[in-house]
Amino acid sequence: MSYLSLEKITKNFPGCVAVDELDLDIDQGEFIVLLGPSGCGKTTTLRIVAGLEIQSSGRVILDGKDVSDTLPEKRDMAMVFQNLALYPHMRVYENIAFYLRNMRTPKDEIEVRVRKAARLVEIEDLLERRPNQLSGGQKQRVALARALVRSPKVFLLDEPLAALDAKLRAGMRSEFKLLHRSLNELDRNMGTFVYVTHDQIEAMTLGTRVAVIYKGKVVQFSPPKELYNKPNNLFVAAFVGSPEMNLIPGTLTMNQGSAIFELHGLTFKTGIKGVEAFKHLGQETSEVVLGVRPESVFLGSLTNPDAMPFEIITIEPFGQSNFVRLRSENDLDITSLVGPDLQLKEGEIVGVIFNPEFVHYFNKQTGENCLL
Amino acid sequence: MFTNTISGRLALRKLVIFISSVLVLFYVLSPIYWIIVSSFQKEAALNFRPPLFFPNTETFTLDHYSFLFTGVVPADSTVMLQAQYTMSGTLVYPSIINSLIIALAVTVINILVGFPAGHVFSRYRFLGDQKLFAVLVSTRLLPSISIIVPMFILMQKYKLIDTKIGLIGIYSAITIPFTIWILSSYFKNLPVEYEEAARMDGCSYLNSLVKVVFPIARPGIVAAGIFAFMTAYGEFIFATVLTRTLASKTQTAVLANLASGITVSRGMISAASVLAIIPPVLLAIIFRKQIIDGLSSKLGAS
Amino acid sequence: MESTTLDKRRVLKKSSYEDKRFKQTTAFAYKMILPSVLFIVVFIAFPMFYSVSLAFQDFKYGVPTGEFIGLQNFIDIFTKSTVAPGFYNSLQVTLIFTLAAVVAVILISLGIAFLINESFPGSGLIKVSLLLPYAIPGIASAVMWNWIYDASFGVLNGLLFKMGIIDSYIAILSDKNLALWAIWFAYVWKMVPYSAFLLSAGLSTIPSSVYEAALMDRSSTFRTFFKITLPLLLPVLQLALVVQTIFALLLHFGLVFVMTGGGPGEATRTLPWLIYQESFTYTRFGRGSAMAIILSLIMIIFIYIYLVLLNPERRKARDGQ
Repeated sequence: MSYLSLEKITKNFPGCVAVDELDLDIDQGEFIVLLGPSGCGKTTTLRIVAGLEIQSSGRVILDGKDVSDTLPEKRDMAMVFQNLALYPHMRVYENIAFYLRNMRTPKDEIEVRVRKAARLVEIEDLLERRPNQLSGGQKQRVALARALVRSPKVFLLDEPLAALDAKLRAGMRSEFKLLHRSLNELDRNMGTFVYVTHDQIEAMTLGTRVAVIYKGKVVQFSPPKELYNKPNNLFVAAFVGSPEMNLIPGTLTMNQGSAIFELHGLTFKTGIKGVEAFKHLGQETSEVVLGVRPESVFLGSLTNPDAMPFEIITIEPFGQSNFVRLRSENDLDITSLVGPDLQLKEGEIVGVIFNPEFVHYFNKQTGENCLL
Repeated sequence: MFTNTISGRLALRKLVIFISSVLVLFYVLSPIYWIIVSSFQKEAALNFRPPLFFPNTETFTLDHYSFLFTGVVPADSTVMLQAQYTMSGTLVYPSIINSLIIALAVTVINILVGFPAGHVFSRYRFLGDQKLFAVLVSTRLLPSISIIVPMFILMQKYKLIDTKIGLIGIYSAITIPFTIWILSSYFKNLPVEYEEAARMDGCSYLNSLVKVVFPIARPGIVAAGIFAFMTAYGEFIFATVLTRTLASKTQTAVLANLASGITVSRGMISAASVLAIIPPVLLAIIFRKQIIDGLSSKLGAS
Repeated sequence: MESTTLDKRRVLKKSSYEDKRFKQTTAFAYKMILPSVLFIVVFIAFPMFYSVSLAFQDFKYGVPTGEFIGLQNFIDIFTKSTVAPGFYNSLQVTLIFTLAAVVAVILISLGIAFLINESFPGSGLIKVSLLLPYAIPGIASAVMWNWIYDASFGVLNGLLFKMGIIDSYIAILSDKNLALWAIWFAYVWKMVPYSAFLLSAGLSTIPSSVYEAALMDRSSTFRTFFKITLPLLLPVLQLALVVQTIFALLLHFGLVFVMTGGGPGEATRTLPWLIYQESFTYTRFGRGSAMAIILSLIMIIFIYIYLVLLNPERRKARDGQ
């Protein structure tokens, strides 16, 4: 029995369906990331879980109880809003303590719990300040402390890092991870997080499982590694991973027991994977989209009979590696990620080989991964 | 109760909104409804105890209005009322025209004079700018009562009683500070780049004001103009005191006259009120967005 | 060492270019402002000063003699109750009315502000309707209410009679106890829209996520109102209070003019009305002007109270908590 369940959640707005029969099962102690582009319904889903938005149909079940119609404040969840929503006229201490005061907690207990929460996010020395005296990152942590002081069943976070600059974001990411771990260790799985973002790096670093959401539906729900290595459709494949996966539409044909992928006059021997994919598609030749990540695109000599000829357009340094853009004779653009010792120059023609182990085949019409 | 569920809460919200909306509408509109209805009732019907709350085809009449425009006393008035009618003998449309002319003139002056002033306050820093602005705006707080006495004496001295110019002058002085205030805060939210581009293109300051700023600032100007017009139109204290002859009176002064005189026909005075109400109300309905934005100090959305 | 002090001085002193530009801008700005200032000086400032001077002069047969009698007018007002009838009564009536009016207007318009801040079908209609009391000229409103309150055939009497609340028509405006409140009700009716829009704009600056956060923090409706809405609304509220106080001190005049003429007896003789009587009925312009000055002083005191009392004290209280 999962801890938090969303059953066929649907939300209709005049003119569009924001959430479309969404199902999600979350276990206690997990860090779930709802990942997707803007407008895909992930924030709406989060707000439905919180109770701030009411679903058109479907149920929300928390710890065995149906909370679909329960008031948001009675669901025992804490929320960190995208714009943080700190009370601008109260000191940080009061911002954190507000909930406790509303619950008529005795003064000494408030003091203890506020300081404990503040310590968890390292803002103990900021307690006397006002929100307008804090930096973005500090405000972020106050919002967190406000949620932490409650020991709720679920933490809901709506793009909390969106307003921070890149450096801060990286730092806060690690802090979130640590926080999640310490909450689960300290308090026996009391750190269940549902985190909404459009940043796939955040999703990959933070999530125990990531739900990729597109047009109001969960397209894939798996641990980050699986998302990366086994995207079950085109959307996930393109969305996850930086730099982006190469997606090449073409045809898959069987030729004397082995499968070939053809596009724009280029031929690629697919190996076993292609055969499997073909079987899955069940036709003589099939329209597919080949997906291969830049790090699985190798540049070598043209003498290799399996190599496909490409011209190097640009070479950009990418950390320790080199990010190479290539173009074929028939104007097919692909990218490759190679090591630092690149002897090649722009304008040269090289032989490109895809590692057949790490190639995916997607059905052109449905977008499904043929092998999953 | 039923506030324990979300759906309960939503239903409660709808109920509260509905009830309060009805209450507010009734509160705000019922007096206006009543005077309009009264103006179309025969005088005899207005003397019912209790009066007819809803308009009635039997007692409907346009007599009061026709009297106000033509001076023809309603056929069914009693002798006493007839005497009252003829004694008051005011034809309303000269006063409407007076009001319109004066209000229009005041509006034009406000824009001509307040526009550059507001612009300068918002764009430039100069010696005494904050103090001057504060002084200007604070003149709005002045009780017109304090000024009435000397104004009357002075106007008499300079023979400005019964002139439109006198009223136009006073009204302009009263409304200009508010115009400057509205426009300067509106300009503050207007991007400077357009004017700077015009200056680079060789426009003099005044030229750039007219050709570039004016077209862009239209919403703010409309709002300021509307406020000036409505203030000038609705003012009655100065209008009553500073006009003696009927021909020179504004609509509000006429109404004040009628109201403070001997008891005249209630139907007639209702009709006169309705006539006085129509122009500002029409403006309010047409320019509601600008007025609401102005009242909310939302011009340009700070 | 030396070079740094020289640099500092160079930075602090305004360059002659900047100075010149500033002077140019000032001259130019005043040129643009001149017409406005002219209007105000001629039609407001000048009469104002004249009025102040009148307060210190002696009058014969309604004409200022030019003879300065110092504070005599003021002293007369405060001491000779027969000479300046009911000054203290006026003060009392004015203060009661102002307090009651401001409280009523602010409370009602706050409630309405909450309503129009929500979006719901028909909110546009309500907003337009709210504009009407504001748009109606003061005198028209006075006539309207006068008719409603009419002693012989008025609709208010009619309604109350029909509902059985009274057995016979009441002469509301002639009743010593009711007259002021009748004016109060009519006054509040006209003034509410102005503040309603102002307060609604203030409400809209509070992001809805703050309310949602308060909801999640399990704050009750009352607590949310007093601990979140009200503090955040304070600056706008302050402005509304100041504006409404000034309005209340002055703008009831039309209503008194039409409906009661200061009566019955002294029940509605507010300070503005007293000034009007002194100046135009009794042509005692000197005393009238003196009273006008006193009225302005009262206004300034109120403004001072609001600006000083509501500001630093609130902040101190917040910090102390």
